[in-house]
Amino acid sequence: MGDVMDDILKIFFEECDELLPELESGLGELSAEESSQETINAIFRAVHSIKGGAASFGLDRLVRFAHVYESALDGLRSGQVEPDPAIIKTFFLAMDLLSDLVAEAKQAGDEVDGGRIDETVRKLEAIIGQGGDAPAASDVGETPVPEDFTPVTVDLGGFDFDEPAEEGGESSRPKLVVTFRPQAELYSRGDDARNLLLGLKELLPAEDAGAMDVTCNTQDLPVLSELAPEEACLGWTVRLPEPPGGTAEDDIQAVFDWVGDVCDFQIAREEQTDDTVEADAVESPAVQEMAPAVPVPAETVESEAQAAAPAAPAKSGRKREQNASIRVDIGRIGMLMDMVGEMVIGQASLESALTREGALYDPELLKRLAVIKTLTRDIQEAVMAIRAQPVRNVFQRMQRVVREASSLADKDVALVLEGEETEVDRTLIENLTDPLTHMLRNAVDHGIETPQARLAAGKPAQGTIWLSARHRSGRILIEIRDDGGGINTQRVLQTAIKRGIVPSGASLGENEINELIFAPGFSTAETVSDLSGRGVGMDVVKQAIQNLGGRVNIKSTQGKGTLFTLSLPLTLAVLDGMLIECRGSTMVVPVSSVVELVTVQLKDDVYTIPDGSHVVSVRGRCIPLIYLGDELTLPEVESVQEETHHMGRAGEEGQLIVLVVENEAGARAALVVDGVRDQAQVVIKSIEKNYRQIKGVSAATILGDGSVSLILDVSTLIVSATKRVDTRALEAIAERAA
Amino acid sequence: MTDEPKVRVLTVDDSRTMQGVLRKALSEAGYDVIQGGDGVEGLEVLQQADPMPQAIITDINMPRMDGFQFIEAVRKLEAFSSIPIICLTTETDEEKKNRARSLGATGWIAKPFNAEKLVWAIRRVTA
Repeated sequence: MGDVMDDILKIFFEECDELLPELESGLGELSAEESSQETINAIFRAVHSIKGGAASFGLDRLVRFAHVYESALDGLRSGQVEPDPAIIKTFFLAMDLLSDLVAEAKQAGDEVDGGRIDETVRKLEAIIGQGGDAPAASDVGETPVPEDFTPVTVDLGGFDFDEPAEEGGESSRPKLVVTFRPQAELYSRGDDARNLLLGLKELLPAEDAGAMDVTCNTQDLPVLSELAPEEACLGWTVRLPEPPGGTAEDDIQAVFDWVGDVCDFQIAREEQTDDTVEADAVESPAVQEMAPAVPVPAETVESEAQAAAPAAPAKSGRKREQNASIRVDIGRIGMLMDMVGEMVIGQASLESALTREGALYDPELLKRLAVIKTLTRDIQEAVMAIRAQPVRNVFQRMQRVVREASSLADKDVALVLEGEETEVDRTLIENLTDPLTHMLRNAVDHGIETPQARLAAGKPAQGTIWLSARHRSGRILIEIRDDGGGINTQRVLQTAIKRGIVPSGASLGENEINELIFAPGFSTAETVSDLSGRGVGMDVVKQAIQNLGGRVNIKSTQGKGTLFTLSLPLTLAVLDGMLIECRGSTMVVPVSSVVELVTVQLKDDVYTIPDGSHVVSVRGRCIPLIYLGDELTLPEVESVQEETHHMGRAGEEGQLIVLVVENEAGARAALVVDGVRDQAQVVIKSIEKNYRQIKGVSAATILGDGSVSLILDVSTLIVSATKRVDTRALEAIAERAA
Repeated sequence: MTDEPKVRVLTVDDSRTMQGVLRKALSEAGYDVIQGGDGVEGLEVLQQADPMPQAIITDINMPRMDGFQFIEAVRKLEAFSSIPIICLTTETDEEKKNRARSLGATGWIAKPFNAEKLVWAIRRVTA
């Protein structure tokens, strides 16, 4: 039985992981005054379900706390408690504690401090107190649980389902006489007199079962012609030996517990006087042989038979479709994703074999291959859709991060979430939590000023941080924006010089200074605070984002705030790539970053600026030129040089093939390539995992012909190119060209 | 309860944990368990079940269609107008009990329940 319980426990924790965010978003709506009764119900239900589940596993600390929390929320639900900001804050605190208690039960978190529980319980009880006649949750302390609520662990001990023996010794003990007369409503509620009789019989020990004496009272039964089938006409008198140990009356009461309002019953004690059977009573033999009790309306039987056949399949079938969902182990989807990746490679290799020079050219075959290609892409997109999840969960977790950070720093900060619906690959979501947590802590700690400083600067005392997500050109952009003081470039520069990150006397642009906060070993906080000073710097954040194939950009305005932009790929698995040739190597440029492919005249369009670097004018815009082969220090290949000569940079026709690429920030560069081979879907294989990080290269892939090819990191290439080129020179050239 | 066909019970609860616990407790006591995740699903499962369940255990506090609405809807179905319905809930409010009663609930068990109480309740209505 242990295994099954373990499984259910696992389900319980999964469910908690779903309920806690629901609770959080509900409380969020409540605090934003956007809540409806349904929100409040959902809030209540979340805590209620956690409590209910926890009780089944004997998670006492969790149950006790959840119970008090629930009682407080009940006041809210019944309208006795008005949700003012202080109360909502307490509810948030209680939610954090509840979530820590869940983590504790999961053994995933530290043991929760008893004092913290007591304090939160006190606060909740104050709320319960406001609710007037709401049940108070008894005494404060480690065990704040009302007497009427004792968690009972499910114990599936042995039950005896055998029918008790029929024969029992005649007893001379005093007998209890139970007389009852059900009303029609008892039957309409799905109950039955027979149930009551059997319930009484079960009170007796097996050896006494035969000693129960049942009499049916038919005095109210009309003649057949007047009999209304829906009416209840029968009553019963049951004599049973008083069980040893007494207190049988309570047990008998319990049998009638559910029907007290629809069944008249009396319990009396009969002393030794035997068998006073009423004249008009019909004796019932053994209880279990009784016919189903009256009334059983004829049409009920009939329609039961109808319903036994599949009922209205069309209607309910459609209904079921609307919200059908299943749970699948993420490992299986991962496996599917890997296989789709291999399928893409396999299909590319098939294509390459079919179109290889010398291969039999068969248009029919190629047409069918095209169909498979389309299907492969569809399958891949479908699998991606399965893995995609809205960023909501991660985002909502950040509410707590900000709440905790701001309370520690004594600041008042609101977190505004935007684009929570944006869907991203699950792996990305999982790996986003830590970097985001750190960045938000930083924003509270270093970005937002103290309320006094804010008021002095003419801003509202409450600072705001916006966390938003959206899709842009095949990537997801996550922005963390605050309305704080912005980055103090003077201080950053001084610190960087002090830490030896830049030489003293270096003159850096504002952006370069901002970038310094990502440098390893950089921390501007004069005292290491409890918040950000956890041994993790922004360099680690940047690294984490880069490991996901993403980039971090920073923009800051003194006195106005800071904006961090994280740009991440939608998936870590596949991308659309343009296959280019450069000095004999085939490389992949993500299609999402390609703006256009043009041929430019070396003589007319390419300019050399005084620092020796080149720019190219494309449609009146000057763009830094990157000789890809040189940039990546690819060796000149003799045999290929012939070829490059007529297509390439020193071509006879004086032309260059240029691929204009753009990064998320909108900066462009022109890559000089030898040629473009194809456009294909490629499966991303990390080279960092298998080799090491290479500047300008983000990953590798396997092409259809089985060769390994590098995927270019366009953004790094652009950044290094634009850094080299003096923007003023670019403008001058643009003017000249125009 | 050796060779007899198992008594079929429908449980309706939005908590998957609770559903797991119910399934385990009831199957170990020899019942055949079918389940629905809220009132709407419960109704669908009920109407499509073959054989029909002999008792229903339902939570009260559920999204989409709560226990009250569920009981009301079941009682409106001719085939199920007399099926026993037991409410499984932490509600202790008399008013709510009365409401459940007036809608046609047969009985109720307070949460948290133990298996004994649960099985007692089902035996109480499916004897």
